[in-house]
Amino acid sequence: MAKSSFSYQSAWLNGYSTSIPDVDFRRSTDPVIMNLDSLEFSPVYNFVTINNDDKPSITPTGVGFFLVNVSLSTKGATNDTIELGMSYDGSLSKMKLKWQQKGGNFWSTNYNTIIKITTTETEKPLQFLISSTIQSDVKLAITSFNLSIIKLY
Amino acid sequence: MPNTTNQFQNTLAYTSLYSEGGAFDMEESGVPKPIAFDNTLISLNKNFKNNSFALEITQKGAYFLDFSFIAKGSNGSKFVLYWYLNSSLLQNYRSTFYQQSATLEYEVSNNFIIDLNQYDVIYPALIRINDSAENLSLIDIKLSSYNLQQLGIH
Repeated sequence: MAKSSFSYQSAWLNGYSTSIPDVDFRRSTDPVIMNLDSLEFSPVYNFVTINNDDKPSITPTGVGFFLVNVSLSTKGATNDTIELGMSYDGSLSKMKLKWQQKGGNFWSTNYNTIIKITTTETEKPLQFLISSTIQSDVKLAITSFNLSIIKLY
Repeated sequence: MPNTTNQFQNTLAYTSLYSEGGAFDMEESGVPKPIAFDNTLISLNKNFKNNSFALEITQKGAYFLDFSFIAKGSNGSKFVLYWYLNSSLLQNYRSTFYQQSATLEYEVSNNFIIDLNQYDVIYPALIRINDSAENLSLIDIKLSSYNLQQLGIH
């Protein structure tokens, strides 16, 4: 193959679930890694998705910069202030989203960030971390979770 | 029968729609009502057809959709934002929100990637879960979409 041949670098992935387990951070303000076992993936292009028992792995087949979008609906965690962030291969994105549960009713929120991925090893998990700055007696329920990742470059 | 003889992959398709919105009258039909406003404007469009926020696909591909609006009124009601594809309700891309107080306004938004075929029609819809004496208003409604399988963005 000629060295100058053009190769596609595009990649995208959509993952969704309406059965993410409740997040129980009662009595602790430490970040909790979201359990994404129930995520289903479609469509997927140039990503490898492995849904292990406890650590779903989402890995692009090529390195680069990726736009990550999360659209989620939550309820519970009465009046807690919630913070959502993400990490890849142990590196925490500086982008954080904060919102208040305002009585524990249903709230629709969106999280967006651009991350740099430098490895395609499937052991390097993409994780979402969620924490509460106030301690509520009620768990946080995530009634819908939609993840889309698009390779930019 | 769809005409596929002149189709080819990796072609441009993008659109950006906006409406200042208004009152959104929801009948007690028990099914999500399509979000449509006569004052919908197209600010950018290539290879999409649209009827308000209903998009008709002209090129097969994987599409990214990003939708948002400001919800106002209908104090104490819970709503679910759904998407229809060719009149079938999609369960995967919904968002649920609650109107805490009629005096406050909340942004509602969602986004996702979906495989679409030529002539597919996709559109957002809302259903109210519990009754309210107050009407819901949708303000500053925005929908953007583009074909990820197009040339020129990667």
